[in-house]
Amino acid sequence: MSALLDVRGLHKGFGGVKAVAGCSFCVRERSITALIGPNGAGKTTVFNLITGLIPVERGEIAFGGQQLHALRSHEIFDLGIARTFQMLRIFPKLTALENLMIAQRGRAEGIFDALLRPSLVREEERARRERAHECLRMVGLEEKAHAKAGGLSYGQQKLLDIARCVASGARLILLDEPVAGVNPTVRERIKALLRSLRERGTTILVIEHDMGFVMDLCDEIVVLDHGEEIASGPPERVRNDRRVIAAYLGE
Amino acid sequence: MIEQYLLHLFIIACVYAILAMSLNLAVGFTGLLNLGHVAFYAIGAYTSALLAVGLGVPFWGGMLAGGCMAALFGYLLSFPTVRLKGDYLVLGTLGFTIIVEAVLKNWASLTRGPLGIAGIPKPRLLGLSLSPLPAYALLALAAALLTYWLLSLVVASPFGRTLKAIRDDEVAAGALGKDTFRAKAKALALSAFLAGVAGALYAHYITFIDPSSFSITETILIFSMVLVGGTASLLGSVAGAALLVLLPEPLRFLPIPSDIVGGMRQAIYALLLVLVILKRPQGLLGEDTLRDAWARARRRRKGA
Ligand SMILES: Nc1ncnc2c1ncn2[C@@H]1O[C@H](COP(=O)(O)OP(=O)(O)O)[C@@H](O)[C@H]1O
Ligand SMILES: [Mg+2]
Repeated sequence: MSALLDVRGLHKGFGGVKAVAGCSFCVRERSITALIGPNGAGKTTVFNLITGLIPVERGEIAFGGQQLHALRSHEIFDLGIARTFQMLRIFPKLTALENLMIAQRGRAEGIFDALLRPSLVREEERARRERAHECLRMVGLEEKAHAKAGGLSYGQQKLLDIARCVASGARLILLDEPVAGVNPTVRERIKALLRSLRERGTTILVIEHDMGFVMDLCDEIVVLDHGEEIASGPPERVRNDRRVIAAYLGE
Repeated sequence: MIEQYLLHLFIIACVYAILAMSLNLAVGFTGLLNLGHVAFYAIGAYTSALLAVGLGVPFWGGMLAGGCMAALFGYLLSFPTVRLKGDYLVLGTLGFTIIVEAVLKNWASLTRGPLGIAGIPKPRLLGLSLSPLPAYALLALAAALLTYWLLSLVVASPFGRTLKAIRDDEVAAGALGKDTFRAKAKALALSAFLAGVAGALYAHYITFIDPSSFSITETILIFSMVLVGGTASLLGSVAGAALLVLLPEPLRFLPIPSDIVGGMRQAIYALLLVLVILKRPQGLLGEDTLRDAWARARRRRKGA
């Protein structure tokens, strides 16, 4: 039982609002862990802190034993953490294929590499394109490969967002409400995709309000309330926790 | 006579095409609203002119130095500005333009202030003078073609894709492993380099420069070329440059007092800009490069 992600005593305030207040939890390697809690509990803020979007006020985040403190978001990505956003953040003017190609790092990404190392660029681009097609197939968006991402439907954009994380090859994927607002077919497809990712060794931390989805899919659940974790453990145990019931039904 | 006049227009159009394409790299491909482009143009022109007049440095060395000096300023300007967003970036780059203009006017011991620099020599190549107009036109054409070639390579490369991703959503680009500050700094430096080269090309053609050649209205003119031609389209920028250089020319042949010709020029630019914004907001050639259009056409042929 090794923890891939270890969050200890995390704090973050916005002006007077304490968004995250001493939150601690672990994400086991090769697990699907859910981060749940009422609206405004601080879940998205925890994601933003892990991925370096906003600076940590107090506390520690360790990924595979390495402290993420003071790293910028692209450096955190390079360590192997990819994420989606609650408010979709796909690249609307790029094609679906390009959206997935952008998530794959290479050695020849410099400004003059197309000029100085054309064969390496071509080789890396071919590999990226193949992987991008493969990931589009995984989420059933193959025929949209050359469509501008901005023109896709909401559900398709949600799928594209997840596929982008998959294409990156990250060890840990953070998903912020992946099935919010999507139809049941897409939801089942996402569920199947996440299971197959776990099979292949990817670790997943997912924020989700859909309890059916969470109970069905996740190995562990962390419950956040007022920026603090109030319970964690396997679904059966968390479901019957007194504090969790109180938080959800209102004190 | 008419031939000389047409060649002159061609050379000027080439200079502006380089300026518009390089500005488009920042504005259209990277989403950096840069109103400081004319400052890079001025830095290139002054560097090359001063080296030639003061130290006898040949055109080619001066052009390279002008480009590098502009690139250096572009890179330095990126530090305070790439962290800024939208309106603040506009203000920051505008401030830079105003500072450069003030330096050109007031640091007289270096720039000769409002008197300007005269007698800038025409370039020579392999012992031949490039001063005849057809020769200079070929030089300008070569520079414009090289710029187009270099920029189309860059924007179609993985780096170019990173720039477009930053333009579309900077936060997401960062979360997907792109060092957005560095990429923007590099894009701004390359954009400035090419503007500097255009400055040298202009200075050694006109042979006289003063601060008035690099005023804030020039920035607006170059920006209009990009918008009229279409953002994120290199060919669009070429078309925009050609159109805005040629369109006001008939005014010369009308019996209009010369003191209102300038005002009418501005009016024509403004009218064209309004027309484009209303009728064709993506610009004449949309946001597609020739390469995009070609790739799409090929895919369609294959039926894929
Ligand atoms: N950038 C921000 N600036 C100010 N307040 C914020 C910001 N981000 C989040 N908050 C506040 O922090 C609290 C937690 O928000 P969030 O993490 O989005 O909750 P959740 O994702 O659990 O619904 C909320 O009260 C929210 O208004
Ligand atoms: Mg949220």
